[in-house]
Amino acid sequence: MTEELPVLQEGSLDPDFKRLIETLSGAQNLNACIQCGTCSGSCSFSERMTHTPRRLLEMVRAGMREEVLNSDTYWYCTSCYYCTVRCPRGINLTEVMYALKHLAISVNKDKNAAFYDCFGSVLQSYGRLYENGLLLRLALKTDPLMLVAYGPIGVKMFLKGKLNILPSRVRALAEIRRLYEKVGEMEEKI
Amino acid sequence: MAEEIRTGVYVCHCGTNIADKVDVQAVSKFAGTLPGVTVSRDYKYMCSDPGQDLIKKDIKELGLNRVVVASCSPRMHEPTFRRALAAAGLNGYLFEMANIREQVSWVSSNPLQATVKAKSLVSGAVRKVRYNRPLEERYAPVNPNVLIVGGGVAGLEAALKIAESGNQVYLVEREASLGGNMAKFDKTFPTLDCAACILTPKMVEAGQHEKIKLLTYSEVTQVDGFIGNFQVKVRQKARYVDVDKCTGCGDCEQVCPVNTVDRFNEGLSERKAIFKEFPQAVPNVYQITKKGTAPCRLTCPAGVNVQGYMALTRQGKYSEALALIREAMPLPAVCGRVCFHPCEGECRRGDLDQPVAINAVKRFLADHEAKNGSVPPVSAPASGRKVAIVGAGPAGLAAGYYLSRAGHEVVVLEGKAEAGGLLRYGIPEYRLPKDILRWEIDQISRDGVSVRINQWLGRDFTLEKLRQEYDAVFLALGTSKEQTLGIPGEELQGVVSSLKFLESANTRAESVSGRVLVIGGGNAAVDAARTALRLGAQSAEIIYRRTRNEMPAFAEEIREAEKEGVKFRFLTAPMRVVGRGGRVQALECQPRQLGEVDAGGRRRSIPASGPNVLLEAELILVAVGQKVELPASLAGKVALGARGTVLVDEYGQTSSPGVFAGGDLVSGPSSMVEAIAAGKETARVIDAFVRGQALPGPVPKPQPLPQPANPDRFYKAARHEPAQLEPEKRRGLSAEITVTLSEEEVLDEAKRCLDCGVCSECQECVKVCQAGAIDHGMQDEEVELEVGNIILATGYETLDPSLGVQWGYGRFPNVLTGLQFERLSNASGPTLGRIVREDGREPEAVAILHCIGSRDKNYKEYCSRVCCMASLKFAHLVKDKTKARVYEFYIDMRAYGKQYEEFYNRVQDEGVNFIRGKGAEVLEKDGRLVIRAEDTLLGVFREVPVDMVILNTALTPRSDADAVARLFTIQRSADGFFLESHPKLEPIKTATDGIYLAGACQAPKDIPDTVAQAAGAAAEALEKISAGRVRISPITAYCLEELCSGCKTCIPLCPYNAITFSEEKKVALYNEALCKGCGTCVASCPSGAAHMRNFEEEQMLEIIEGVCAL
Amino acid sequence: MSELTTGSAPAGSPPEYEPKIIGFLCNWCAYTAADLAGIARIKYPDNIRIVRVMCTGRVEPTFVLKALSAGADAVLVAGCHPGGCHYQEGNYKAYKRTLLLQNMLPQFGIEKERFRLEFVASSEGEKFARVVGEMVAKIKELGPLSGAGVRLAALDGFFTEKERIEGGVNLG
Repeated sequence: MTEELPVLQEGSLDPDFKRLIETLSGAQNLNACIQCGTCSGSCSFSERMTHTPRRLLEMVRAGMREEVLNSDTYWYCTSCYYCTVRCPRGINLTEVMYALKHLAISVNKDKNAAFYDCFGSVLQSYGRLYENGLLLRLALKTDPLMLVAYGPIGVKMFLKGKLNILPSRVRALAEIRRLYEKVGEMEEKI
Repeated sequence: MAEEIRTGVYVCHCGTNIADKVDVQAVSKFAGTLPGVTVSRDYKYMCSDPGQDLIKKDIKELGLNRVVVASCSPRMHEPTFRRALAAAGLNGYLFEMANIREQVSWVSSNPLQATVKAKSLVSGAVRKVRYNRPLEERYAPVNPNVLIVGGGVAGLEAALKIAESGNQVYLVEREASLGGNMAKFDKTFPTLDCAACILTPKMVEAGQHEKIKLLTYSEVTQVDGFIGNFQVKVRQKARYVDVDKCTGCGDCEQVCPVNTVDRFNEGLSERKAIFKEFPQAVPNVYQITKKGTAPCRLTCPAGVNVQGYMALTRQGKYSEALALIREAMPLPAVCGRVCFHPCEGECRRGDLDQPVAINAVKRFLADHEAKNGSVPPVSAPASGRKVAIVGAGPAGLAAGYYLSRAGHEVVVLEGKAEAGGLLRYGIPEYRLPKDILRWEIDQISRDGVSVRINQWLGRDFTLEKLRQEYDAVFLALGTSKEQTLGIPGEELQGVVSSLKFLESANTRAESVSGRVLVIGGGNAAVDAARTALRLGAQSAEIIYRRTRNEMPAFAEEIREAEKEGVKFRFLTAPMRVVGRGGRVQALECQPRQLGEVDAGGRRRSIPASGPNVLLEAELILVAVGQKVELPASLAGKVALGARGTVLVDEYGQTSSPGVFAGGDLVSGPSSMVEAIAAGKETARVIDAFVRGQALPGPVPKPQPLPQPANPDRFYKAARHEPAQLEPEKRRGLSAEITVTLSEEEVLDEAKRCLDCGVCSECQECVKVCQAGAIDHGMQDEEVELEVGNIILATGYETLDPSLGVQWGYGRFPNVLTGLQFERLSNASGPTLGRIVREDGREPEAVAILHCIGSRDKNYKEYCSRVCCMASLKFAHLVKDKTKARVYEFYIDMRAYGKQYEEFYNRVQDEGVNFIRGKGAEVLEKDGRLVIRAEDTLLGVFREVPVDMVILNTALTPRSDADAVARLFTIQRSADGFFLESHPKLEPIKTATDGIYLAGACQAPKDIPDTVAQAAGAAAEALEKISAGRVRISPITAYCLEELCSGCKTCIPLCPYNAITFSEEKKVALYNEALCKGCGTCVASCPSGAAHMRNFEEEQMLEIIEGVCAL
Repeated sequence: MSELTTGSAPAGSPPEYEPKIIGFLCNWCAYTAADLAGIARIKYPDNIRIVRVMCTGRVEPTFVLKALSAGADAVLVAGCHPGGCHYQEGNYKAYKRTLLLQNMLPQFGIEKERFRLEFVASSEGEKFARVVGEMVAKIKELGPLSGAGVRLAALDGFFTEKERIEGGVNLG
């Protein structure tokens, strides 16, 4: 094995990162974490994450901003809240994950943000999910070849009657758009 | 005030503690300007010797007569400065402190404001101290006895220390044996000493020490007094076993039929109702758990010990079961057939699945006896007294039976040709076969009761004759007369009273033809209808003026009647009998509806609209109720009540002395079992009467069970219903409808009984105890103690892990708490020391989880201190006794004590797998238990399959810690454990003088720390005892009698009863020895007569003025 | 009004109003809690002046009125939790007296928020600090306690509140 043990460059750390995430996640006290691992142990998705929730939190505390934002951990968070409910120090880790999502989107990090963007824009257009539109927008934003890859699944879904060719709109679309506008305003304030 | 006030003010810097926020020089300078201040200084450390010397010097040289120190909290150094004043010859109470450290400099972020605040507090103190008076401290002697609450290792240690010093110790322990939680352990860390081996010598020594009085199975109920002089009440719970006689042999345990959860084994096994907590218990005696009287027994009108005979039946002890039944009810075969079994209605098993088939079990027992013969009961020696009973119905027979057993000669005079009353002549054959009744009555006659038939009162004998020849008479004539309808045509032929009809069916059994109408809704009506059908009637219809819900007949009877084809016509009332040629032809009936509730609680039957109906019939049976038929010869001899029943007093005696009455004759129509109960009760009274003793009052009501009872064991099992004959087969009068259960079915039913009251008082233990130590009549006792000091060593409990669903406790098998594992591993535990799963197999892998409920904001925020070491101990035990792999899931490894780290090392060497990551979840997968956790050191996620999980649960304060704290007037800290005086310097004393803490009740700790703290508590007590006297604060209330108006407002306010009222002087009298100085009475006095030393009104107003000035 | 100045007001502007609150604390629970707050260095506003009594049962309504007339803007009485009184029941008696007082004070034109009874156990240093902070903030809002003008205004407030309730509109 020629892998070297990585050395953490102290200069690369962002000392304000922890404070920032604390504030963004609604004044959580990240100092209290004892790194017990209950969150990771309880997480429904731990196995698939590159960094477990516990590890991610330690990275946040250390100030490893780039590594944290590039990680897929918080994207995989399903908001099941097991971690929050069981954390012995009372840290609302789910809020921290949301905070990281917001931060990542606002600094345009990672193409995973694209999925949420497209999903949101489909909803604003139709008020309801329109799978074709979602796929199209996502492919245009990230990888056009995606259309080909998802083709077979699309056919299967269509044959089972689970895919609409044309989108269906919700009646109160204007209100949904207003919702999004309002949330956008609130986000500005943060 | 005549004297000139010369005050010295001293402002302390306390290093920089005060001086960095408060401008002490400015405060001192300000103080110097206040009226009455002779000198004002500031100094670095007022509490130090030089600081105190400053004060002493000024007192002497400047003639100071008041001193104010502005420094730390008076709770810290008030005594210090009082002593300094005293040393200089000034009374210590001419002193005030201003708290400018804890309450100013340490809490302020603004020096300007802090200084102003300090000035105002000094100003207040200076103003108040002008009005301080010299006070003399009092002394009270110290009672050398010590009370220790809790018999675990802490209590034992303290007890032995104090006893060895020669002082008397009262050791109160709530459980039956000393030992506490430590007695449950297998081994202790780090030495791996066997817990029992090191604890039992102390237990035995305490049990035998002449200076230690053990009060086990006891609780403190009240504490009064103060340090040196406590009065304590202790309730000793009834063991029902005499501690001095019991040898601990265990014969009783062998025969006890009742099982209940063994709490000492942490719920892993069962124990008998009579038990010893564990083999090395001290005292080494048994005790019986009684929760109360089971609801079945409580509701039975005759008070039959249902739970008792169910337990005996379960063991196959049928004769013993019947003997127990006959203590309350002498006709089990009859009862098992015709009783309406209210017991089954109350049976708690019914809350789970179905009630136990109590009635059917009793029937089996009686039938079994009939086949196999019975044993006569033991009677008391002959008394030479004679009692006559008139009427051989259930009341008369019962009275006869019990009087005969009491040793009296009994004669029962029955007017009809056979004994039995309504049992013989009212209840049809198919419900109660006559030969069974005869057999049962024969038993009673055989047992000494002489039954004479064809003896009518009035015709064959008179009441006077009976009163002459016998020592007492019991009238049990019943209600043998039918109520009449009061409608026209009632006298026609073919209108018959149901009583007469049933009697004739029970004697001659003549056939019936045609249509039969039965008027009424009670059992007699239903019986009559069913009998009519059996005798050949074409149809039988019951006419009732209300609905089915209001029918008084037993629900079962109504159901069976319907099955057999009896028709019901509700909301119909008879108006007139239509006849022809003197015979009945039809019945005219009016439709009815239900109106309002009447006095009896049932809805009235009022006429409804609609035409009357004419029902044709050949026979009309009237069953609208029974009443007393008083023989002519009794007229005027006994007083009668409103409904024609005989009046009796609370003893059952009629207006004629020596003549008693009971059963339906007194109560009006009722049930068989209530009649029997009446007969038994009156027999008890007559027994005393004929012996010339005082008539006994009513039997005290037994203790019901606390609601709700949680059945400790629960497995669903359907009830065995006695097989029933199909309706088509129910021909003729004699076919019994229900069949007696088989023996297996009866044993099953008996096993379904939940033993609600735990001990069933079946008396089997009494029979086998050779030492005669068992006494079921024991009561709780109260003891009053006088002690000078109290040590609380009440220990801890553990968290119930079922609170956290993720840990799987109670959901999956083989998930244990630490204490449960201790019991498994302990050689005297449920598995005799083998570490096995519930299925008996040894585990191949065991997981030990740390911090279950500890260090967790969701449960207990604190660390429980001992569980890391306990986990290592468990790991070692598993490794030692099995071949299992062991995984420990930890967050930290807290091995702080002596030899602890070395023990950790040792366990590591044994090959235990340590995974640093809290066990987040316990799951079941593919038949194994799986622990989900992140291995944080490896940075990987793990799912470890194991066969057994041990949860190290948090140590918690006892669930009644709040009540105990109030009882002893101490506080609890935020975590719920008892509050010590100071967490660093005074971990043993509490805010209440004379009450000390030892062991885990103050905070979780291991055994060495517990023992050390217990020795410390003993030292505290011995310090006071050695000094012989304690200083009592002179801050008490007093009354200026000349101002007292005698309004008595203050008297009920004092919780210490220190205030009484003097009738001669008409003023309040204050007992300053009892007064604790709260001042509540002073605040309430409208005349201003009540005063409080050092907190007089003028002092309070001055200090308020002072602190508000700035 | 207190002679306290914040020391932080811009030069030339009138000093910020600093209320003066008198606290009657029982020796065993509340006073100990206040000491505990100090030991833990928990900061709370300096506006409070603490007077120690052995038990809140000693506190007479006279003391409260004296404090309010001597210059205090509000009074706090703090004692043990019900059931935890060192002298068994003193705090219950204090509680009953405060109920009466709280009904009386508005009739003098004194807002009932200027008198507060609080239960503080000996380990509740944080709670004590919080209570003081809350009270100071509230009294700052209400302003200083002074003469007739305030009295009338307080009475107006009394009637208006009644209307609001009767009108059935929840305005607050």
